[in-house]
Amino acid sequence: MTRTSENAIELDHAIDTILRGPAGPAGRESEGELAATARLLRDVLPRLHPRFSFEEHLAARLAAARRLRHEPLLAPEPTPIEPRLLARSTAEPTEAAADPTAPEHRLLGLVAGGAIASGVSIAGAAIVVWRRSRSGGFF
Amino acid sequence: MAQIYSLALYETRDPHAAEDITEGVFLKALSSLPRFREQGEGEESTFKVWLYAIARNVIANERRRDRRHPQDPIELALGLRAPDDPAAAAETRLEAERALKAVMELPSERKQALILRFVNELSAREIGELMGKSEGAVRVLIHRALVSVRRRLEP
Repeated sequence: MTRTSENAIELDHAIDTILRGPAGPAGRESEGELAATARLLRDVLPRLHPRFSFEEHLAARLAAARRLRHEPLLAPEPTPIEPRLLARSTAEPTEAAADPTAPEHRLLGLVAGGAIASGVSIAGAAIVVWRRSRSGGFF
Repeated sequence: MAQIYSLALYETRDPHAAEDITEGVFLKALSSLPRFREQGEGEESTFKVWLYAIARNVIANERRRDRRHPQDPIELALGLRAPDDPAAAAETRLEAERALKAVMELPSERKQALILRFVNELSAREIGELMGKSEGAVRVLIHRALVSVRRRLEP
């Protein structure tokens, strides 16, 4: 292992510690120059947020896209689908496992798609609370 | 969503382009979910890397498609900070602007590695998966990028 690689590993560990630690200049005097630069970047590089109206717009578009993809599948289903799928999910893998159009995958897509769409909504709500709790900030 | 938006804004420096990219990433992710295969759990989850990989592709496509003039949204964001202590705020702002300028002037790969590490807080392993490099190569890339930033910040 070269000296550069060793230094890079050491610095990477220092960055991990800095990213997990509290904000602010604490420890600057005792750490190396590069770690101090890393701390500076951690503190000054802004995490930017989009406009709230954009978040709402995107959440609505994702919800609409999800409905378009899955409503035809779920609406006409005459019998409960969950127990059958749950039972099959614990069984031995079948050929359906490799088929992305199989019901299991469509259900997975539905759940994960819901997670993406609701994740956006939750993120939007969290940002509203955060923005109301402070007088200034990014965007 | 803010992390994807942040990455897009650092890359394009255009809030409108960043919004277009963010929307494109999440719509693409939604349509691609049936093809996603989770290969890890917890911190080892591959979902985040998968989403960022989509983001990198969408950003690359946007760059090829659209050549809008970049604005200075990041400088604008810094200017919106509430100045509790005007003197300290001015000093912090100056330091932040110099650091930001130093990062933005780095070669593309080094800049992207730093943004992913410090703004998006991805690990070297995750950045390596995104950039098609080994974890060690990413560590060295970040080390060299920080050396460059350090030199640019020296008086």
